[in-house]
Amino acid sequence: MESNAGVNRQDMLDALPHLRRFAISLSGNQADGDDLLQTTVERVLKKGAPKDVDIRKWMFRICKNIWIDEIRSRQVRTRAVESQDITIHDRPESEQEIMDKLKLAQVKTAMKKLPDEQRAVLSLVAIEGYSYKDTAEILDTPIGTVMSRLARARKNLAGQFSEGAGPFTPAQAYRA
Amino acid sequence: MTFTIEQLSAYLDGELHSDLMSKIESALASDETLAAQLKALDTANKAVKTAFEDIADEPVPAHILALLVQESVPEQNEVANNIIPFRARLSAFSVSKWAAPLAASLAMMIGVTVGRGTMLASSAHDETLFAQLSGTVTTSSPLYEVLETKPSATQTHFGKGTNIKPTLTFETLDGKYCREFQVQSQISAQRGLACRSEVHWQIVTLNQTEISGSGGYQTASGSKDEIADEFVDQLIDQMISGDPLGLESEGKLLKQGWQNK
Repeated sequence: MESNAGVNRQDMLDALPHLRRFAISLSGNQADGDDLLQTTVERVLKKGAPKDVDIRKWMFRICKNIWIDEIRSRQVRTRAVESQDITIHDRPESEQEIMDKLKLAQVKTAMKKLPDEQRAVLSLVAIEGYSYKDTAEILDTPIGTVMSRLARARKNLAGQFSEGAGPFTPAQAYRA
Repeated sequence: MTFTIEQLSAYLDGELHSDLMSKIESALASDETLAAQLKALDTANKAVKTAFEDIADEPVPAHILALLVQESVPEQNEVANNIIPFRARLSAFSVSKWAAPLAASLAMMIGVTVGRGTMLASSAHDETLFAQLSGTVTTSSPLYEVLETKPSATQTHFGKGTNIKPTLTFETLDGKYCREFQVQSQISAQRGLACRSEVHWQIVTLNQTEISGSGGYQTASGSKDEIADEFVDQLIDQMISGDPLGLESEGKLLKQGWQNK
């Protein structure tokens, strides 16, 4: 790593609330998210960051890598994945109606069911508001991959939020 | 013309070329299925955004903040040499450059609680009190009256051996008034910082420690409590504009209901 790259703790501090949200969205619960956040901060403090890198984006990248490469693989071995099905029987009529029916916790559970890579992309774009370009940079992946993972993530969630297969297959199911 | 789900999804984010954006836009007007698909994607997207929205407003756990705020960490020599220590940066830049954004970010961390682990040793009375001392201090909280009306160094009793005492009043760099205070009960003591917003007081940080003996608020050297204590000191250092208020100017503010007009 380059030295004296101007990485400073204030920028890291500023990023923490958002990074914590990202960590919680990845890990699916607050305790694991806070552990992930702590590991991320410790890692960046210890190993530093490349010269001229945007420390905020860098921290998101390290966070995602730690989750995918270290914590998650450990969890898969040691912990059974708890899952809770979400069923909405009525045809969704309005966004408000759906929001009322889906408790926030259920949305989070639905989010948990997504493959990790889809969840990471969705979290960066939909929750953190990053552009596709920035998301591709953070995840070190082509923009096309960001696009397709994002679309699949949204489609998967939409499928969980509506009866049957939702509006996508077959399209008519939504019109009933 | 048919569109892929990738395209619809990217349409939601405004991430398509403008010609494709307008093609989808005009197709939406006549294609009910397409509109339903877009709506389903949009709803899922908004649900996720809403579900996680508030997390960024929650306090970051103090032990994680402390990793970045504390001056010397045991593994200091392991810390990468391109991370500028917090203190070093403070002296490397002029006050005006760092202070305003710092104050803003500190304001964002409102509600940080430090050393809550010691709660386990507290009585039910303390727990109730502690619960009342988190987040926004409304008029129903015992702390409200103290912060709003009592001069510094004046102790107010709340029964069961609990006392609350403001210890310092200062103005922040962005023109808010904040007060440091101490809450002491028989078995625990808290040192906190609250800032006044338009109508109420907001706890910025609250640091609780157990008391052994009658020494009041004190922390063991090198302990987690001490780190938390330093954190409060640094917080005040970073927020304060000039010197703390003297009793006279504080008294004026108390009289004027914290309006300096």
